[in-house]
Amino acid sequence: MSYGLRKSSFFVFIVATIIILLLIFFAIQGWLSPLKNILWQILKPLAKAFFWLEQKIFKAINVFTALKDLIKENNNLRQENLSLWQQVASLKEAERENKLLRQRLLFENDGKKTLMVKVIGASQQAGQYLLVDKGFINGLNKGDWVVSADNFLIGYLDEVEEQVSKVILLSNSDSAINAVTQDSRASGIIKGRHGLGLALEMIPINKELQLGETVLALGKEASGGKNLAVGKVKEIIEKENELFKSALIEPAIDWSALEEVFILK
Amino acid sequence: MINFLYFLFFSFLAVIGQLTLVGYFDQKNIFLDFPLVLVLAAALTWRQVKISWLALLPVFLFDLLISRVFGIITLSAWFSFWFIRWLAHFLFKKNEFLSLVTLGSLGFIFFNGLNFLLEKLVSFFWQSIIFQKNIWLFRPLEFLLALVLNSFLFFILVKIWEGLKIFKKE
Repeated sequence: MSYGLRKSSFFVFIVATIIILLLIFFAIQGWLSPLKNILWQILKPLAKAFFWLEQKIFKAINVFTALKDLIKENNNLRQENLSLWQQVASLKEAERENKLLRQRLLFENDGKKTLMVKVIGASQQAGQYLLVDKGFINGLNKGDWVVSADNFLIGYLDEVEEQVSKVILLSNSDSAINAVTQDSRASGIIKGRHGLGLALEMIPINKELQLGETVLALGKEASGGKNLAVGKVKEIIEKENELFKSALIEPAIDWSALEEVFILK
Repeated sequence: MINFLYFLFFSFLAVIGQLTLVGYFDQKNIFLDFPLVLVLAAALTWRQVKISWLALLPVFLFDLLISRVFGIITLSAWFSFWFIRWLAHFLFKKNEFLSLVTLGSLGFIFFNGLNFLLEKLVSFFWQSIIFQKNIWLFRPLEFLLALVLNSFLFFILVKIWEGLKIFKKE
């Protein structure tokens, strides 16, 4: 018989197996508990030494692990920060829009609808026109008046496409709107001054204007018949031998800063 | 006698290493098998060291101290010991490093398979055992670690033990 299958080896195997089974029986009976206690007493100093060693070794390892975790956490926080930033920006926009709409609610136009539109473009030359994001599929028509949230007249729709419209600003040189001053009731025509400002022209020479007087665009169907404020008289221009006088108007609204406007329908 | 005492001391070291280091590695879901590796090494060097079956001593100590159901680990290790001896004698006769590693790996798989079966049996018939490890997730990691430890141990043995004959001569 070869060495690996010798009878003595087989005998050792059987005996050791029986011993193990006996030990299992002893353990079930609880007879190994004293031995276990003694072993723990012997092993305690060694365990302490190993524990100390473990602390030292793994402390160093943990530093690297923590560093790796920190980098990961930092990346996650950056992503979260970006996401929150975006959310804050969206909320701020929503808040601003909400504020504008609330402001707008104060100005009813005798049951006329108002539609908020976003400014999506403007003429390269300042004060000429704006492009807004709604068109005739939204019910916009040529000639509709365009106002700010405070109900100041800005201009009117000139070209209305399917989903986009062009707003001619009052400061546009082609713009001409009938107007009247609020206190002296002097009538005239608001005309643009090549995008640089407004003027009230064709004022009868016999009418006395006051500086700072509010200039109102005369109401028409689009505004529900109401006169809408445009600005204030800031300078009166009178020339000899002329039948009419004019006045420069300080607009109430900075048209270059508009992001949303309202269409009166 | 002095050899036995040396062996006893190193058995204690192996067991304590297992008990303390396991605390760290368990957090990482890795379970080390120091005593098992010793058993496998002993099974392969049994021709030189006649008392190699003493390698079961750390396994016995470990089994006794970890407070699980006593006997499962010892029995699994004891059968693994003989399984490796049998394989080394009949199948892997070439005295080379790759054979050693293969045998170690097979011993590890045999041990864990038997251990798992015995735990299931005990759970079914006698005492419910809480399986702390997810066998499918942790075993590959455990296997890899044991393989590295085994290979390292055999490598050292072959290097420092001149004339070490692990397998039967052809």
